[in-house]
Amino acid sequence: MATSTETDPTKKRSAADLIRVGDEAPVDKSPSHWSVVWRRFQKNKLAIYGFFVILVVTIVAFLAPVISPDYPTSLAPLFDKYGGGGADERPSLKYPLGTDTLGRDLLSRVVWGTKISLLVGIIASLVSTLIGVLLGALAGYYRGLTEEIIMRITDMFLAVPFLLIAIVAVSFLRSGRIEFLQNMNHATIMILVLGLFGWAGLCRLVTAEVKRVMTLEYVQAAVCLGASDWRIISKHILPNILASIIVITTLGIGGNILAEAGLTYLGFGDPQTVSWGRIVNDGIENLQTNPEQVFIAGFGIFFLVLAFNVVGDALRDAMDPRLKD
Amino acid sequence: MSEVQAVELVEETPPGRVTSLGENVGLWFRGLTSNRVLVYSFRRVLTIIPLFVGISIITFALMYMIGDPLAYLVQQNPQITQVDIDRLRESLGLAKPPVQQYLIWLWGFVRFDLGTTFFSRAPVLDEITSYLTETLKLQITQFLISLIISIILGVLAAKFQNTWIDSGVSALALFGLSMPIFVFGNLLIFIFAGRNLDWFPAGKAHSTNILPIDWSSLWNGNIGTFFGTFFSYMGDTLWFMVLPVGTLVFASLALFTRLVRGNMLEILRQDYILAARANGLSERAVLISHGLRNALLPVVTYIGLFMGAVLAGAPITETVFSYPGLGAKFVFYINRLDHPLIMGISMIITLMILIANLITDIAYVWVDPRIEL
Repeated sequence: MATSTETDPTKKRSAADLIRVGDEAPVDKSPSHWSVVWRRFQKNKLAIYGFFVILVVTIVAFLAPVISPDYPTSLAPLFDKYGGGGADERPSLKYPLGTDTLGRDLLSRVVWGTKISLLVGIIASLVSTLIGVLLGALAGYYRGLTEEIIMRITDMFLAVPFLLIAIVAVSFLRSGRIEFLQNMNHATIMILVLGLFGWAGLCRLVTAEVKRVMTLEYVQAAVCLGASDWRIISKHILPNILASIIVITTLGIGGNILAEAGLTYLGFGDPQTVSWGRIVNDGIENLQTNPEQVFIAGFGIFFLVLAFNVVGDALRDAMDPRLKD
Repeated sequence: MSEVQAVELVEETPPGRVTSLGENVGLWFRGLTSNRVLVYSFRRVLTIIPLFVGISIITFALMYMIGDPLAYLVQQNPQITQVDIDRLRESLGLAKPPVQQYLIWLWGFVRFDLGTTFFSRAPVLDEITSYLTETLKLQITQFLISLIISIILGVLAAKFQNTWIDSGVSALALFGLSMPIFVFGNLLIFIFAGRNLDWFPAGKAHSTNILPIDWSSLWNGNIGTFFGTFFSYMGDTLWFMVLPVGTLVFASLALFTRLVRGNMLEILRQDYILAARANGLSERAVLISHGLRNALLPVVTYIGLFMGAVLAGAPITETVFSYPGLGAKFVFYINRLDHPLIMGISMIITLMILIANLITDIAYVWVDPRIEL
């Protein structure tokens, strides 16, 4: 083979070798794109830490009924005076994080709260990715009037003061004034609001990327071969801009977790649903006397969001090294 | 017509001949429309109007459907009769159909009349002006501070790329990006206010016993009184601003530092930096006058984006510090469904974001002639 002769110049080359030079397919298949990405990702120690944090929180969220000592809204610890219970109690062995103002076990609340934060963060991000990619692909592929209309809508959603509109929207959904919107739980409301107001940035990016990819030769070739619009978009264009989409979605999860916690902290969540923002909001009255009621859940949010941001940054570096810096 | 005649005809028209008005206007208009920045600005200003109307319709519709503003008043006063409720509904303008209410609001907004609030019955514009002063005081201070800090940190991180300085700055930016703003604010309150250090007040914007600045003494001749009240008032204001500004700076540092660092790294790879180094310029001259000046251009144009992020984040910070600004009042009045005030605050903020975006875009086009319109 050509490579062996190059590495070993002393070896005598046969006539057959000379004829075969360079026109053979390599024996080893070149590594696939995703395995390269995964290998680059693994080299980033910080990202592995972030990945680990997300994994642990996910497992905790799934196993909440098993590993939490008590039900999160149970008032039993309030009456458990001899076991170290009561309202606003300090941490003890039976109640490792203490109890809150109403005498509920804080550890159980923190464990159950992971579910809402993760659920809202991830699904809201997926919803906005879906809307953003769909509209962005339509605008970038069809151009003309379609693009004009979609871009004006995008402009409007980008100019909206996000938190203010989110507050109004959450209040509206929680009031249940419209028949078919009644009986929605906290997570659904948050997912709807955060998902519906968070897609504009991604949409603009996807439009620009689709327009860029459309000028490449292989897309023109697909057009010439008579491929359908749907096939060109899904088979030729989207796989090429997948990297940016995945990165933005991952980074969006952190933002959505923060937004959900912020809205709940301001008191626009459901008082019955346990989430980390709710726990902070409940504990804020006792900030000076029982700081653990605020900061355990508060730093929980911080580390979870940090983990998602670190993983997002690492994915960006691994998928597209040109985007680094 | 022969060729000679045509030449004579052209020569006959003198340069300073009297032209008609229509021709002049045409020339002026052509000059105007060939100015790309002006045309672009005009087009962008026109696009603001539908955006503003669209956002206001969404806000009004959502707000209108939250509930009945009178329910809260009725709840406060159990002895209220149906006649009173009807009269109140009539006088607050809530008896009309919602579309008409919206159009009345929009027509008022065009004439700078935002109506009167449901609760204090004061003009909304006056209320908003006082809240806006407090909010802008915080935001402008934090903006300047975080801009300066992030430029220093960003340049340092780019200069010492891939060293511990770079990692430290990146970590700080990442922390600022991931920290819930209310947790950081409460952490500052816990450490620096209240029980532990008690250096700064935990909330509000002014001491209760502070005298306002005595402007009248300035022309009454009592300069001493003026400066006395002026400095005590300013000192008091700054003292109350330390913690909220600290919180906001931490939150917004991340965005700017990453931006400055990224731009700086890109600029430092350019050929003209190599040329400057080859010419034997000092490292500081290369960094500051060749690097930073070019790296800051895109950063300045990000102010619009920043403005949106900042104003949207204001409600949480202001609520944490019970600061009487736009955001905290918005959160307060949405629970009382004060329609004119809610619409006023959200639309003023929307308008500010739109104008900031507009200025950003125009500045971008004006600064960089390569941008295709």
